[in-house]
Amino acid sequence: MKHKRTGDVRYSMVIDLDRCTGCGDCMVACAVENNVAVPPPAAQENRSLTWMKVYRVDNGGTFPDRQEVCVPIPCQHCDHAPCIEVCPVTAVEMDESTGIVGQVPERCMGCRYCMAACPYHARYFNWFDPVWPEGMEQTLNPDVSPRMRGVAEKCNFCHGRLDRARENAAAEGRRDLEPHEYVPACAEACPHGAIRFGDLNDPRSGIADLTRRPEAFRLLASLGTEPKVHYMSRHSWVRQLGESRLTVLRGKDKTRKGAGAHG
Amino acid sequence: MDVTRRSFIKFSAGFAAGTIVSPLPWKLLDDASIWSQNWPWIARTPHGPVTLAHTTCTLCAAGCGLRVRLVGPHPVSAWSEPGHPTSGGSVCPLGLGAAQVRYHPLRIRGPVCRDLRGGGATWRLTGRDEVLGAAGRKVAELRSAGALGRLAILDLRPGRALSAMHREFLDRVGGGRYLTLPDGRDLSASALDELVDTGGRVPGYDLAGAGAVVSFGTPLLDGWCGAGPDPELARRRRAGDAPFLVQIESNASTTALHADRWLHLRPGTETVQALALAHAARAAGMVPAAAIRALDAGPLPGYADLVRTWSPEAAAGITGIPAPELRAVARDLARHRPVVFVAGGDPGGGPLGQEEERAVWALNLLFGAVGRPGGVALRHRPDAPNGAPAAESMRDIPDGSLDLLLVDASAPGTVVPPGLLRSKLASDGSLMVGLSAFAGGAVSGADMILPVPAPGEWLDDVTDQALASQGSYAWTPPVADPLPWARHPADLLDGVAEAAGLATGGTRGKARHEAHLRDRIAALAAAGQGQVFEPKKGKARSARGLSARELGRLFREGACWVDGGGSRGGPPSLRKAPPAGRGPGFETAAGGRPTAADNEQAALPLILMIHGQQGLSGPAVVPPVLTKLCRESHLLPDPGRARLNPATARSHGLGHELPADLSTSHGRLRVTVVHDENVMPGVVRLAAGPDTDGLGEPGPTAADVLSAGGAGSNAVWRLGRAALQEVKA
Repeated sequence: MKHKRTGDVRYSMVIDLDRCTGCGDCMVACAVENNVAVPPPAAQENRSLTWMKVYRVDNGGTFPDRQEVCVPIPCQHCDHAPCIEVCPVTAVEMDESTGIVGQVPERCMGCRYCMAACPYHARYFNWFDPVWPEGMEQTLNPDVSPRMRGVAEKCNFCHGRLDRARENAAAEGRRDLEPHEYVPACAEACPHGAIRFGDLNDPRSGIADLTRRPEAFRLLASLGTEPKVHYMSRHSWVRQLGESRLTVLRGKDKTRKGAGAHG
Repeated sequence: MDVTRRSFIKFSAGFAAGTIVSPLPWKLLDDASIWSQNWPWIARTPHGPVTLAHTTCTLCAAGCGLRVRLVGPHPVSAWSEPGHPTSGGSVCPLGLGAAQVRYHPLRIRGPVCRDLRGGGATWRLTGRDEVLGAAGRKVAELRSAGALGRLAILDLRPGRALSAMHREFLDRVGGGRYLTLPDGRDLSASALDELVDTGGRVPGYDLAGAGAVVSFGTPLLDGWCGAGPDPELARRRRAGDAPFLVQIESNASTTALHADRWLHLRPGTETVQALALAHAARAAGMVPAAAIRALDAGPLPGYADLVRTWSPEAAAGITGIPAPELRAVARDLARHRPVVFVAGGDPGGGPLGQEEERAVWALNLLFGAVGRPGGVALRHRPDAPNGAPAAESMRDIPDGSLDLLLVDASAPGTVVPPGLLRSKLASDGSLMVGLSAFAGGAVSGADMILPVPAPGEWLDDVTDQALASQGSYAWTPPVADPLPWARHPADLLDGVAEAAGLATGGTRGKARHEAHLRDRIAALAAAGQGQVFEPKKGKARSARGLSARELGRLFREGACWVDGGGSRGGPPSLRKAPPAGRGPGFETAAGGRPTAADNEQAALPLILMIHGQQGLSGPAVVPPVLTKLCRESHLLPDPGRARLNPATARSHGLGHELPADLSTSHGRLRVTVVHDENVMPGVVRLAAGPDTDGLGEPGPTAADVLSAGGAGSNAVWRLGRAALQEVKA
């Protein structure tokens, strides 16, 4: 089943990998904004909750010829999202008016098919009750409900911010948002301006122009998921790695053999 | 109707088939999952009106502007202040987690002392009078014995109005020592003082106007300011106007990987590299011979000979940098003027070393960078009527020379090597009392802790840190009420004085502290220089014509004063001779900083390099959300992970992600070995933070790493030697 987007707004993100230094601002800002819980001490890394996760990716070289970039990976908000296809309880759905792929935790029954289906490993499961140190629940964002144990969750382009921006615009009698009125937390926090966000259909946001540049690419584009998160790098090895990692791992590109990612 | 066996089975089968295709079982499944997932202990979000407040972050010395979102009385998140002059509109992960610090698990709920029943490893609540009484008795005892030289107060963030309160306390007591703990940036700034007469001005890198930046291991893009990048460099990168960046560093750090050129020199050979760079620049005609002669005839005797000796070819044997590569760098620098050379060390790895700092400052002087736009600005610190008291370095006082040490850790973020403070105390009958909101960080080794408000709960002030690009001054308007048991640090100092039987003069400490803050504002208003950034308007205005009252109002709204950068008072003059008691300046490191004697190298075959980010290094209070970076991912290396080159690891029989024992001449540590191609062969890298042990995380702590690196006993600990032995299952 193909999901046809009908709205006139199509939110998208462009991440410039040459600017990203892996400072982690985006990961922390995301967790603070979206009440992403901290697993208990000594929990395994694969029990982590990171709606935005920065991976270090290298060209497979050895010291000192190794090159490395940091790749922030949120949910890719695919136009043809595999997670939507597989969810048996319709807990994942695309907002046709914005193109944002949302997760409804109240519907989720925790089967984790969506996690298996997502080729970007951008979905996370609540293995634990969301617990904060005593008193720290007072620092939770009231616009975002904490999720319960046993459900999957993921990036939703800070939908709480979108709701706030829409309410503010409505209070002023407007329906449309100005580009600066709605920016996800990661894009706001990035100190290097590596993460840019906007409406692909709004020329004022400049996002569409960026996606058409020759250094722009999408992760695993050959899968046909049509992600709305775009990446940019002037390094051809980064683009090759991002677009079709399978080719690299099969050794078709001998110069890039052994390249890989680690979080 | 007869009910037959057949009809019953048909009905049952039909009912079962019909139920499966009906919504009923799926709805039950769904509801069951919701019932089993929702429990009363799941956190509820706060409710109330949403407001914004503006303040300044004090979790490290960078002093970034924060825009705090409050729900009712609760600060729920902190964000960067757009346009803020000192942070360039960005804030590091530490600052983003600032709202959580108020509720940190290490926050103390009252005065605490060591619980000796548990061997002193844990804390127990005690009475404030008990702690004040113990400290007061010690003060009285030292006064009556005429031994006030054995009393000291350690100020971990000097230059604040509170620093003047420390001096007042010592004045009231009638003596005692005022101590600070200079970091690599402070020591770098003081090294310039040896070479030129700065006229009381302090240096700062003008990265806004630099054409090329040559960094000697400085983590400009990964932890130089807060846990984030240098704000000016980040701003220029955002604007697509980044200067040409040369990183001279052994390992492939983030800064090295993003630099236009990375010179991966052998560890500890920065001095030779700087001398060879001077040689190459002279050969390329970028540096006048007269400038080298002037340094040689003045503060650096023998400098001309050293520059002549260390040609790129001669240095290559020491540094490992091929001569053509160094000459290419010199040509690059000629194309990207003005050039500034940056040192100051790594916040976690500690100072670079005085000889290395001299060599780097000499390069700045040769290139005429000091006092020139796009180089090193020399400026006066914001006028402070009460002045910073004359300070001694904690490292310079003899071991065992103190009986009472008061540690003001009300502003966290300083790397305090474990064991350093305790080593200065006498072995018998001494007392260390911390003023802190947390039972961790700098006061981890204290005997007693008096609780003060956490960052964001009290009005403090923030001055620019050493080597910052511009002078700045701000207040930290509180965004939350202090918890009931916390007391203002100045009130606690009054309490100690009163317990010692000394009069306090009537006015409470907090009121006197606020009077000092107002005095500073009055001095700024009187000077009428610089600009004031108003966060509510998001723009700066001239400070000229602003009254002290108006300025005070703006500061209470989170304003920040800046001097606008640039040098004041013209270029400095070279000193005529080296300081008394110092030799030519390059005795030790000219052949490479020694990391161990030959006999030690056999037992400890690896070079240990410790590193870390500002605010996250050493024993520190880390917001829980930072586990996203160091436990839930490996974006930041945590203290328990020893990274070394895969080739080195294989040659030592060390497997990836396997436990190993790391030994140094200072101690032993259980680590996890991580193969990392970004580490130079022969080197093992350990991070001195972030410290998540306060969150209950098992494994080595930052204190363990610094101890193993000898940071408590050595002023320079960035290089050492170590051995790794895999732990067999």
